[in-house]
Amino acid sequence: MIISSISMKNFQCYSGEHESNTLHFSDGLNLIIGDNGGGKSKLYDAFYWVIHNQVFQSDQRQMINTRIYKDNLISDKAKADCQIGDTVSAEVTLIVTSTGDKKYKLERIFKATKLADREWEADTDSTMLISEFLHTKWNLLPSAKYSHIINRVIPGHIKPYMWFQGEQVDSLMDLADSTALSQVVNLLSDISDYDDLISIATNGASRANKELKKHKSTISSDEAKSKSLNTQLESCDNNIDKLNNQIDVCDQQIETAKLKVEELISKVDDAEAKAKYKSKKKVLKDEYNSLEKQLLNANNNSSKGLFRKHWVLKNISPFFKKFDDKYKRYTIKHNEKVNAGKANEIKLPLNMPRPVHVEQMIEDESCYVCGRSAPKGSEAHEHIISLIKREPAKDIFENDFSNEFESLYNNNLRYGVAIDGIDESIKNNFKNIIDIKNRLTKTANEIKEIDSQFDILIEEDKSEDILGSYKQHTENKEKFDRNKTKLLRELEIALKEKEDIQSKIDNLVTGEIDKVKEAADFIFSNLEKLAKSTKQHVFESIISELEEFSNEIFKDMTEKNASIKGQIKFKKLANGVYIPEIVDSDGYIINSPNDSNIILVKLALIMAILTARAKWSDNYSLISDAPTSKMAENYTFGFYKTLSNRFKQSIVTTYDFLEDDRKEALNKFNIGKVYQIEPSSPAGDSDNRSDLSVNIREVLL
Amino acid sequence: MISLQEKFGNLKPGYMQKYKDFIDQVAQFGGGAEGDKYTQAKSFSNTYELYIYAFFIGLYNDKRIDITDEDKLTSFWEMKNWKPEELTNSLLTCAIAVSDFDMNSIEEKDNDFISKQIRLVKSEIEAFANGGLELIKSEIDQDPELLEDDMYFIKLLST
Repeated sequence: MIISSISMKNFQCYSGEHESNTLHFSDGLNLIIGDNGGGKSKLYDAFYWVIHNQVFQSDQRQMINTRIYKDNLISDKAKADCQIGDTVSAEVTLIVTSTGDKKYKLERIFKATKLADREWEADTDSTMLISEFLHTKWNLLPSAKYSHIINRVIPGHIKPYMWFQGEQVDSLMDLADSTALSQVVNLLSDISDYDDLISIATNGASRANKELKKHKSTISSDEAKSKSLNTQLESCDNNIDKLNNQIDVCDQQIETAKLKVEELISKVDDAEAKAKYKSKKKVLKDEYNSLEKQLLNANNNSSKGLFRKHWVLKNISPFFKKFDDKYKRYTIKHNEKVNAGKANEIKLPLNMPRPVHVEQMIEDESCYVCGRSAPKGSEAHEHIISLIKREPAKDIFENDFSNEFESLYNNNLRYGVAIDGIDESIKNNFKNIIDIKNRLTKTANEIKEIDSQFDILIEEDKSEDILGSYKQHTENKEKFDRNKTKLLRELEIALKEKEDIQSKIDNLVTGEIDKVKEAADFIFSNLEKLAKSTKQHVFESIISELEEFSNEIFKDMTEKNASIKGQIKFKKLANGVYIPEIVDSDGYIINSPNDSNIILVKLALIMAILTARAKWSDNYSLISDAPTSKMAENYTFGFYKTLSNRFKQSIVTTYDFLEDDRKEALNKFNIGKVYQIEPSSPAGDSDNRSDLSVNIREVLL
Repeated sequence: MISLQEKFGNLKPGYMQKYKDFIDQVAQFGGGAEGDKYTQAKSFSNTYELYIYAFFIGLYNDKRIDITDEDKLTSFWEMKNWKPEELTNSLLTCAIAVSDFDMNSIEEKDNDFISKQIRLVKSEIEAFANGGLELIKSEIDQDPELLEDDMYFIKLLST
């Protein structure tokens, strides 16, 4: 819902009736401009109080409930004007409009009666009233409907991101907290629905697996042994779960140590040497990765070469020769049979030489085999003609396999040529792989060398703290890495053990396994995997969408600033968690960005959260008290512009644009209503709170 | 019309049960995407690739295991599905060459005789392939690190 107006009666410094303390709002960026102490925060309090029954107590830096704050809510001026026995009330009225053009009035009232000077009898708590505008008048709604309406003004889960004070921005999004982004994604999307699906699938998988195990036990040739094996399997599963959890913890520890090391690197004094180290290491790292890819491809090709380049035939020649000999003996015998009883015995198989060549020999009157001439009419010419006129042997053999044997012979002939080159081909391949491996080793050594130079840089660093911490975290990382390797080895053994037990159980099974039980186990276990991977996929797509939106917004907000601002990168840690980082154009973390930049990044993230997926920005009003209070001046323009373009309605109190000559800039935004507020003390004593009220003036641009 | 190619193509040579784990370790069962075998650290993308390879290793090293009726063999794909086809044909010619397969007699005798002759070739294939598997497996059992060497199976051809 969009906020149409707010009005206050004797609420804190806003003394007087509603009529003199009313602000109307429209779509776009609504600004309430005021100097420090001008009533901006009390206005933010008014919004907050009407919805949440709490106000911000500045000395305690926390929200305080009406029950505690009591008559402090009431304007001092109103209280001073009261006689003993009089009752006075603090009231705030908010009028909101739904997308369906329904209007609601939300009123909160707190009353107190003056018993004596400085003695008040106040209500225990405030009263909330909500009415709907129907048929030209306000109709009070039953209190059962209140929470529903309030939730439509500002849903609880987005409240911290939609309604905030400038000084809260820092704590809204803790960039160092590795769970912050996941929490936000869980909070702002329907991703947690997948947990229900995962839970159903996991329970189903566990039950189906139990059923199948039970069934296998009943049809086992040794039920007692099956039972004992199942117990072993269960303990093995528990061990696997335990190891997986330990590996997760280890991943988390490795990431933490890695982050710490990176953070410390950024603190080294010699920025120039550090930058040189970074860029040289990046080049070498890229080269190393590319060589690794080349090696993978080369190995890939080697493996294929066994078959595609026929390396597997490396030593085959003697066996081909053996086949040739056998085939030769076969052919002689075969042809003897074919030619038996014929005057002119032709030892060549049928169609050999090929008819096309024989025809050519007849035309040329020459024999291509012996090179002698065979003029027409000669015996030699007749002999050549007889080659082509041969008929296939009929009924000589039960089965004539000559063509098939010939085809096998031809197959070997074709390979014969390729075999000669195998040794050379393998040699070249080895040479290539050795070459890549050498280059990899060389590059790895160079990286090591750079790292050691960097260690020297660290050691020479003036701060002993940095050196100590750097060494400690580097050692920690190595320790965790070693621990992870050990755990992975244990996991591998446990998985193998599980497989062995499972196969022993399966071997004991006699008779047929119930297909339904088997299928249920298969389907549920796959469903479980599917549900988990789907959730992961959805999560990652939300993360990538958020990253894209944050950067778009960040870019918009910083367009007026020429300094290096970096960009927002959601870094995925080995344990699957994402953390937001500010990186430079080469992807390196900017470890000491200025505070203003950090605030901007956080605001960009918050705006991305609100605008990216659910489009909260279209349906709810963003209300913020002095959001630019910690921001450098040249960032504020970008911030307001982005806010006015991306949010249907925002209501912002600020001291920016206080001077009249700065108000012109407001025309560049999608601006709503603009008010200027200032404290007023008619008697002239600005320290006398009993004389304090606020002047509200609409600024016409 | 009897086709030898068809008869050989329908052969399903097998391997001894004791090699099953080893085969699972180095060959991608039932094929799958070519790229997967590297991510899974498998050297052969099919059981038949390993089988062909083992046959030649057995053949070159004259390592054969004569299979008896008591040896229960696990068979897999028919030979007509093995790739590349030319390589399968070379394997066949070698098996024919070293066996007592009588090329002339089968042209004169009946189907039963042909089937017996085909079985002779199959026995040769199985003898050398299982012999090759034994040779490779025992080497790897002695030194499992050998599999870490991507070139191991190529180097083995030269020993």
